[in-house]
Amino acid sequence: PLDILFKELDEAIQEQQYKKAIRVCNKVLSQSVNDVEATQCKVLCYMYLGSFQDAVDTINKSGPLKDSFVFEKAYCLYSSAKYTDALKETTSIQSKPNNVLELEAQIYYKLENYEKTIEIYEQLLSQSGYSQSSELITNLCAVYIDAG
Amino acid sequence: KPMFFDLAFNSCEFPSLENRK
Ligand SMILES: [K+]
Repeated sequence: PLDILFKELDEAIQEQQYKKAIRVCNKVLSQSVNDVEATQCKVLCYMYLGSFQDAVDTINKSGPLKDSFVFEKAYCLYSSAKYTDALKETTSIQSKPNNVLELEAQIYYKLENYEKTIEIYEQLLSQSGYSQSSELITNLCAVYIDAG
Repeated sequence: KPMFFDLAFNSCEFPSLENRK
């Protein structure tokens, strides 16, 4: 029966019906506590709905999965303008993947720590995958403008 | 304020459910 629920969940996500998707996630989780994919989808649905506190609550209640949601939790705190709390999450990560670096740069920008923001963006720009990123270059320009 | 993209949101992706369906 779980496979039928996951089919339903996938369809709801494809149709961007996130509230419906959360209801399906809850059905899965009632049968399969701490189900990885259902928990991930539930967190993401709340984030896509802009319900960041609900996403954080879901993460905090996710038991053994909690540690796998550090990026998502930091993003939710960032989106709730809790920049110092968000930074505590990202700085707790030892070897930072690029998505964490991107987020950390955004947090530092909001905290008006332009030096740190520039440092991270220059580090990312030195990687081949980012050298053509117009969005990253736009952000770097914004930092230089605000830094004066 | 100058334009500033939310690059980190691009990494907020749903997991693949292919193996669960
Ligand atoms: K995305």
